[in-house]
Amino acid sequence: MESEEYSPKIIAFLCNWCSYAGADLAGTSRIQYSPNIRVIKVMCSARVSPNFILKAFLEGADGVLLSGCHIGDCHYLKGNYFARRRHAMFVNLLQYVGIEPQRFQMSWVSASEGQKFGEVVSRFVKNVAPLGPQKKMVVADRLDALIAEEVK
Amino acid sequence: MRESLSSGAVRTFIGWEQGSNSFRARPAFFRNPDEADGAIFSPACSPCLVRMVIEDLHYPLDGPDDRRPLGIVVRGCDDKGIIELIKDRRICREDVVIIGVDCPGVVDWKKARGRLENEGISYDDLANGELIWKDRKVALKTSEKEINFNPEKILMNKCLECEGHTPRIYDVLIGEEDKNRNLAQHPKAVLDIEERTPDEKWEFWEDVFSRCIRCFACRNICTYCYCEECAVDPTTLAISEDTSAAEKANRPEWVGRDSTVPSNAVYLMLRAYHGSGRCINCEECDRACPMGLPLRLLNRKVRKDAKTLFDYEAGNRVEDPPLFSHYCDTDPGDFIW
Repeated sequence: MESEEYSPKIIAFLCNWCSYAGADLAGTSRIQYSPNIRVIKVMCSARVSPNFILKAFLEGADGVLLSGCHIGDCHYLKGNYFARRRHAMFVNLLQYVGIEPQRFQMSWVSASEGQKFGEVVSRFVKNVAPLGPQKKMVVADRLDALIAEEVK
Repeated sequence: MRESLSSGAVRTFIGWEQGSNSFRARPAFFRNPDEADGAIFSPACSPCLVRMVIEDLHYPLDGPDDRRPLGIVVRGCDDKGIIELIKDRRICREDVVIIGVDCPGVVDWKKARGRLENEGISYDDLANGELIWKDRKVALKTSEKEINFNPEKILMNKCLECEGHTPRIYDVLIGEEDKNRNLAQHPKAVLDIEERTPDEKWEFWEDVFSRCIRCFACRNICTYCYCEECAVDPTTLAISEDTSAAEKANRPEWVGRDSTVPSNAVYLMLRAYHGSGRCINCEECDRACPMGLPLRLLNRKVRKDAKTLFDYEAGNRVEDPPLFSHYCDTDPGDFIW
């Protein structure tokens, strides 16, 4: 049963104004980074609630990245403050239940930090890949599909 | 209680009445002074009554036009629930008339049930005995004998971590005010789990999640879980006659209602997370769970984090803003790259 080398699937929630623009800049500057992320653009990092992150894990994500504007630079002034508070709590809860801490990461990436974005993603993928596919929280019918894919 | 009901100052009083046996009491609504004679306060009174206030808010017992305040009996632990409701602006302080009571501790029926034989309690004693406090310890008095109990074996777990026997807000206080309010210690059970590796933690929690049957009892009885549109229950979408079929079909489903490990994990985690800064540790979830799941291990973890990360305690002061509706410049951010 020959299978390709495992490549983690990362869902990245990027805020429209800073992180998404930063990712865009990384693209136009031809910066090479691990191609594992699937981007979901949100208007602000505060939009992301633990619902989203848990749903990503349920659907089979191996890792979740949440990226927003730097503190003090939020386009909506206060969003990232709320996100920081909320996820400080949530990150602890995720780890407490037994999800490996490397699977969820937050970062602040500004629109001009294309280089940093590439580094953040590559570092994240490097941490997540050795853990293997995320199987603990994948919902049943999705798990069957994943296993079928692996077997192929 | 009789007085306030007969003077008409209060429309309904929420208290306890005797339940199916001497160890059990249930929440009751006393509508007139005569019914108030059935009110009791004994070690059997384990349910937390604050949830009844919320139920009344949703479906007013006396009709929507009766604006008189609601009465409630409150112990040292429940006052946090009333304070949280005031903070959330669900009620005003004037909407409730509070009788505070000094509570030395109430029994956990699940624990008691397992000890009937050991303590020599016959079914007859169970039906006809009376639970009383003797020197602030629980005892069962029957016509022939008196059985004293070891507190650790019979009290609810929250009573073993009691922060103060009398409430801080009340209109009338029965008993003496407890001056020694201890701040909650960090629960050892939570610290214990935090020490383990991710795989060990998952082993423990997977077992818990696999036993959950998604009966939603914990949510229905929970003091803070009063959202009419629940984030983890896709069937509770608020609709009106104008809601289109497309809207109903496309409602976001964050987690299904199936009781598999992943869905249960999301349900329990999200519920605990939604309680951060709001859970008052009333132990209703543990009490109500038909599978005996240790749900408070999640909620107490979140309470501990609220304290260590943000120096925040639920139900401590009415002036505190709700936890996630404010932020601080000094919030921890080391986990962010």
